[in-house]
Amino acid sequence: MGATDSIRPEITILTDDDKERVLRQVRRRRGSCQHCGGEQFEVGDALFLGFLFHSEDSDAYMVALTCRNPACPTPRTGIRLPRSQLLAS
Amino acid sequence: MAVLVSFYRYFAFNGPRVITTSGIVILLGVAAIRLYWLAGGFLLARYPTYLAVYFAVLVTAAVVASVSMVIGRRPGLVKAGWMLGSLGSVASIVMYVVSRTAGLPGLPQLVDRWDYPLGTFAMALAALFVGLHFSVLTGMNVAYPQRRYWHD
Amino acid sequence: MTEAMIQLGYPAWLRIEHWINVLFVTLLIRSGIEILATHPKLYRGYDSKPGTEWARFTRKTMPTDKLYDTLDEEESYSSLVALPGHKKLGMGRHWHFVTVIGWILTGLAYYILLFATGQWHRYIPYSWSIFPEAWNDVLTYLSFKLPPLLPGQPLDAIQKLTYAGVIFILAPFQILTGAAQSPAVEAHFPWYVRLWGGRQGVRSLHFVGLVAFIGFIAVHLSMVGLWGWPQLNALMIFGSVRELGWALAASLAIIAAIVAVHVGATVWSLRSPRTVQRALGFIINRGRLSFLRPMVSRQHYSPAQLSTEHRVNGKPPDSDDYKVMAVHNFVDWKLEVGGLVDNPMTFTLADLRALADKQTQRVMHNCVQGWSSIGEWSGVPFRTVVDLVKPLPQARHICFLTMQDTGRDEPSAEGAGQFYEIVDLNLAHHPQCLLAYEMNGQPLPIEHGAPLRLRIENQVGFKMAKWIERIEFISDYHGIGEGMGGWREDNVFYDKDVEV
Repeated sequence: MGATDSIRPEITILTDDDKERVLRQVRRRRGSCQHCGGEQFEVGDALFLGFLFHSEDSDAYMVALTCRNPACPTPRTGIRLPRSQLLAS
Repeated sequence: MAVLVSFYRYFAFNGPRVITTSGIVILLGVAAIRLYWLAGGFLLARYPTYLAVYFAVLVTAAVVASVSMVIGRRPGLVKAGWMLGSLGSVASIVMYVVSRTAGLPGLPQLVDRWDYPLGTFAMALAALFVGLHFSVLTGMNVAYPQRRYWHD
Repeated sequence: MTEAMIQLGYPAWLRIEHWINVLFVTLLIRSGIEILATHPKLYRGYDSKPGTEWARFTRKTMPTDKLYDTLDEEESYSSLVALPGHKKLGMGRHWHFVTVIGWILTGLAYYILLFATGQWHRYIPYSWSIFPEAWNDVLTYLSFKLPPLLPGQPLDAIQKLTYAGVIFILAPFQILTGAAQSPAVEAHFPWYVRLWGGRQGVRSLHFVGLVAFIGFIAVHLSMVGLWGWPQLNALMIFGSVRELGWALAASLAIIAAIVAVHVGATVWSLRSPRTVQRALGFIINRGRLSFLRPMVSRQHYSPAQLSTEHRVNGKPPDSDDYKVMAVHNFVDWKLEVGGLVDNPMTFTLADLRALADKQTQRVMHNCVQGWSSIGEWSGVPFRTVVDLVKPLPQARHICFLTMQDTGRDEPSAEGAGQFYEIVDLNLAHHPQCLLAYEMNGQPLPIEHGAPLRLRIENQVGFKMAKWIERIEFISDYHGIGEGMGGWREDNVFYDKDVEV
């Protein structure tokens, strides 16, 4: 129970295809967890940044990534992607 | 002058129905006064025919303008209505001032007769309409059926 | 003319009050325009939904593709029309409120003296015949002539009615509509706001009163000019028509002094706002804490009254840490509560939800800039947290530290640094003092302070810190920031206590 139940109003739920697209981007950028070095991630939801944050590009999203390493001290992180690399056009 | 114009452009209002209603009420007020004069509630017992014709034309113009301002679906028709109202208002002011200064043909007794409250009031109404129209033309106000699109 | 005026006379107190009023009313007008400049849009009802305003006094347009807040909409007016001008709301508010205090005291003294000395006859009509007489006066003016004075009085009928209207109707109207804009008054007496047609309705009425006063001044000066400036001026200086040259000199000296006060107030505010804040704030706070602090919020607006678009002020923390937390629904966010407490604690969002039954309140939010919205906030009553951490006896204030870095996040705000606000501990026990994690039935949106914001309903909106990360109980706030009790207090020179 708690905060994780209700979906935040700003969140975009990603489809399996969207998540696959994200993982491809992570691999392409050779992304790794900054806390444990792990390279396996679970993809969560996306947050549209372009409207709410004045420094962001107008099509920017933050996608939730969770490090799959069970020993990772701080597994939750994210990756910033433009809409074109995230969602099917 | 530039400072005054700049100051003026800071003001904007969003009341198209209020503006159009006010304009119509003013114009009909101007018309009603001329009707009253036409019907004999005038300073003089008799007045020349040209003046009666002028009053009738003014009343007609005011009514036509009022109708056009409110039912004109095409913007061109609405704008024409306002313009007609302003033309009539300016004409009424000019005629009144001329009648009290240079004098109108056949009405020398009106010269210097500024002490006529209904006449002053009629001029004020006419000036008010011209001012209202000016505010619409310059964007301070919008008139029906225009709308403000203040999205933010 | 001279004989008629002497009968009712121009006693010294009346003449002195007249010139004091010139000073106060002009200060109120200029400082009022400064306050208007900070949100130069007027609405009807309770709400400030963008696009629904009936009047605008700005040429700014806002973007549609980026979040904008009301700080972006703030206008900068010239010092010629606003006191002090140039987007200094803190200064404008101080001058407005301190002048209100002076004007009310002057007005009370005036009323008492009017009725105690019998001078009230100069404004309150003797009989109903004043109305047809006033109508005749209007017709006479329209004939470009001057009407007769009322027998034994220094006024004609229409002037008498106008003065009565200004002194007994317009002035109290401005005071009452001003009071209706105090968050404390509105929170404690919601019916009072309804009486005036809503928070924005009463704000619009207050503006109409401003226009009425400006109109009165213009007509008053024209009348004095028409009727004989030198003689009437002498009456308002010496009480009788004599020594016209000296009277003119005296009036010019008084006007010069009034102008000097205006110039001085403007320059002082622009050059040394901190000293203005301290000096005027000291005076205003006496009245504020005495009359308004006891007004506890008891608002219960209906769901139908909720604003469809609740306005926003302040932009969310523009940091990667915050964005990562947000996309993970703030699972990693922690609230630290400590300082002068027996039992410092740390809470996650889930902990806060489990602390107590969710309290929901539908209340009106009053921004210091003048806009308002009605929202439904849900969360944990703050007194629940206070009772858990057990503040020590020396704890007197609470400091709310946020994740917002104003320099990074808020381009429209002057100043930088971590946004924080300090409230008195005694406000924490108000029933509608809430730590809100939901808004309108959903998790608190990012632009409204996710994951947690403060609600303290008898205060102006800027006190209700958003994006909270830490709460500290303190004994003294003078060592924090610039020592004025909050970021806005430090940088925009507001007061720390803002029941108005």
